[in-house]
Amino acid sequence: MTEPSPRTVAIVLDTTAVTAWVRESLAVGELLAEINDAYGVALIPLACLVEAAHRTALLEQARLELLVAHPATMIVSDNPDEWPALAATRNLVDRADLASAAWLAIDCGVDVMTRDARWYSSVNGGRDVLEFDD
Amino acid sequence: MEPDTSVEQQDDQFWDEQSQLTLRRSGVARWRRVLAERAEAREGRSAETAAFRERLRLGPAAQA
Repeated sequence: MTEPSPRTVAIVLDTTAVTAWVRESLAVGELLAEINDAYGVALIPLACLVEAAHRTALLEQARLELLVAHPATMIVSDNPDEWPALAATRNLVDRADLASAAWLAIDCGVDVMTRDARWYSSVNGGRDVLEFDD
Repeated sequence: MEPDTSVEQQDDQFWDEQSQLTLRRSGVARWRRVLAERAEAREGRSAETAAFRERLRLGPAAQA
């Protein structure tokens, strides 16, 4: 029996995107549906998941559990070997959770999905960002 | 009391579900286009992004 081919990384969801999912954002839901249709995967830094859980006061833990169990999402922890890159990125975005998202996106060559692109304006010219508004 | 034989409510419900499905497919298709456009734009600056990535790998001191 052969292993299924790995899903292609399509995007990184930051804290604001995870929070929006909890609040039933149409944009995040539709994007995940498309990524799943294309057999892709959206990466969620563990730090962003934890921060979003904190910001939604865990009132909607069931929605977070749905996101974690979604076939097109994967939770990713920071790689300890990459601490210099994470520290350098942290200097640019001013928050550890957003640094995880920004570095993961740069490392994987994809965009960060966020509600506020301004956080990433100093990361690679602020161009690797997919801003949504709903 | 006469049973309700009207199909209007069912029709409304049917069309409502169809409309929602159509809208959802439309929304998903929109994101498909957005992701494709974004990937194409990133491809055009891949060398620049690779250089930025390598600078970050050097750590915060290299950014100063």
